[in-house]
Amino acid sequence: MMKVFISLILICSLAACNSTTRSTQPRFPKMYTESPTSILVVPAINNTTAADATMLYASTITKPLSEAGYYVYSLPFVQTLFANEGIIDGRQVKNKLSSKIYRDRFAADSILYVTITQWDTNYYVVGGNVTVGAHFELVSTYTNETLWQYQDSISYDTSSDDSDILLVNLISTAIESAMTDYAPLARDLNRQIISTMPLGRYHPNYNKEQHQPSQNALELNN
Amino acid sequence: MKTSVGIIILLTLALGGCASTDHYYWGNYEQSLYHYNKNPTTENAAKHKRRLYALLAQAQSYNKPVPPGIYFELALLEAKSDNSAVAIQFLNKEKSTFPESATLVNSILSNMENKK
Repeated sequence: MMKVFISLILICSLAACNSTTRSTQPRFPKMYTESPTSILVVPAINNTTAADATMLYASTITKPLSEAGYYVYSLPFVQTLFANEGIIDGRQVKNKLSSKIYRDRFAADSILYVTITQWDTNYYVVGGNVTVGAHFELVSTYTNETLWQYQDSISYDTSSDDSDILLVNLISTAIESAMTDYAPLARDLNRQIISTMPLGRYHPNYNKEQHQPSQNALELNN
Repeated sequence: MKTSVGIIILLTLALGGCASTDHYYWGNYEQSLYHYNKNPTTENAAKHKRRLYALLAQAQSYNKPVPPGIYFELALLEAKSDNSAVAIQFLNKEKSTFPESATLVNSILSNMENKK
């Protein structure tokens, strides 16, 4: 019985590891026809009242995009560049600049617009929750069309009794020191959203995912 | 009791295995950038730069590739401290590692030339 349980745990955790093999072709066909290799992340559009959210968010976006196989232009550099032009919020970018500029100056294939939709802490008598939400939109610099977009949010409840001890610790710190500890949540949210994006050319499984649905279809036919 | 310890060890191993499936070596890059962004003093810039150098060394010792933008970021930090020779080296390193950066790197390099 115990052995079965242990092997179940192992299988589950290995299955979790394998989540980088994705088959998202039917949902985002333009990602496959254009196959962008580079992403320029412009300053985020902040729809929340948390003034620092944009800057804090910026530190958690490069890793998941790079790990998904894309070349990401150095965010600290891009931000300095925009800040020199007086642009801090992404809303100014979207209204002012055409995609062609990014292709000419950076040779970027695509631009990522991040909109921070939620960045809240709610307090209740016995606890509370912390929520971070965002919308991602990847736009082609060639056609100006949306290649991929996704919206999600995550929320950690501090009042539930059965939550993981680590999580409770994380949240109690989050409440104590407000802004500082949103970063782990933002990190998780990024990972969650970007996991719906097809893989880029630097990922070892690049292009393999496209063949998966057809292979499955073959197996079924046989 | 023994089995639960066993399960915990197995889980840790399994999760540890997951963590190391990152393609690139990141070290504590996110945390370091986050702290620097939060409080961008000269002192924190120096601290961040030291951590990026540590990342390069560790990536090499773990035999893992350096992520996009790290050489580039080091070039920026070195340029800020007037070490333009080192900055140019890092810019070229970014370009040879990730050809996607070529257009941008070339325009920065020619700007630096013009300023001389």
